[in-house]
Amino acid sequence: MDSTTLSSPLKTLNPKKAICVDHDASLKSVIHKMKEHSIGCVCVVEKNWLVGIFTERDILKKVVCNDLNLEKTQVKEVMTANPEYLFMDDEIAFALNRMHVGGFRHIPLVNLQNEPEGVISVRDIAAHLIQN
Amino acid sequence: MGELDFQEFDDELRSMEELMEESKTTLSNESLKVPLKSLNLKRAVVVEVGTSIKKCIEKMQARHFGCLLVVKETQYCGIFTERDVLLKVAGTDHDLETSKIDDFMTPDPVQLEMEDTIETALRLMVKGGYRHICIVDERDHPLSLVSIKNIVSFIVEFFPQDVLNLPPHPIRMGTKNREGG
Repeated sequence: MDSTTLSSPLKTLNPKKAICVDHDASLKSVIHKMKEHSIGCVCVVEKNWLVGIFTERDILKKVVCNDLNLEKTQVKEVMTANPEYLFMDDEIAFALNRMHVGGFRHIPLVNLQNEPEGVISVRDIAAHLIQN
Repeated sequence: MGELDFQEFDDELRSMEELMEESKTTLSNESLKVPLKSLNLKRAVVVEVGTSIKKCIEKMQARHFGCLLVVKETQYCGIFTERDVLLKVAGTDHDLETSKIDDFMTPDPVQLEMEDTIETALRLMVKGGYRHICIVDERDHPLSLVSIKNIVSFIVEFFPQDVLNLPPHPIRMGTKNREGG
């Protein structure tokens, strides 16, 4: 692997499709969706516009042991708002930068309308690096 | 600017170019064949079997850890991660004070030793879908934890110019050309 690999666009990694939930969805339905898809992260949208991200880390830190009513609590109350995002055509190097500096495990990929299209995970990048 | 100043400028420019050239590293499989002990790994957070889920989760929250190692009489026997919290704890009716970690952890997980290579760890992670692997000593006592982030950071250090020295935002279509006159 060399610098050229890092300047390839993120779309070459075939990122997983973003699983989205509405910002006023109940935590119960969001957790159900995460279990159903076996994913650690969902994109939170308002009128299809990315407004937040909700991950396993949020569940650990803000949901379990906190006596939240999962049916009444909306995901927007516990999500991480205004997450870092990238575009499918951005370079892999930028995703690595965000993951290394910001400590993120997932980064949403949006289109020009700010609608989530995919999610890139640290594991996707690791898998790509090992193939190269 | 005098002639001497130009000379100094040229020397400086040349040394910068040499530095840039040196940073054009290639990461080969050989580069990953270094032992895990060469990584700066954190000590793992360990709990005993029989610990309540509530205590375990509080420990993870307090220490900002996504993963706990479970031991039985100091021997490594299970791992409990954020994924287990999502799949087995969140949205369920379990009494977290009386439920024991034994029923929620992943028993007999994959383990590595300090002499194993980064490449081995990375391959196991990618193949098995793990984010954390425990490192044990010869008596199966947990010593540390290697995470996929540790390995990605190791890789990033090979490419500081390409990954760390970036503009705040990618240059995208529409921003490549200067606006205005």
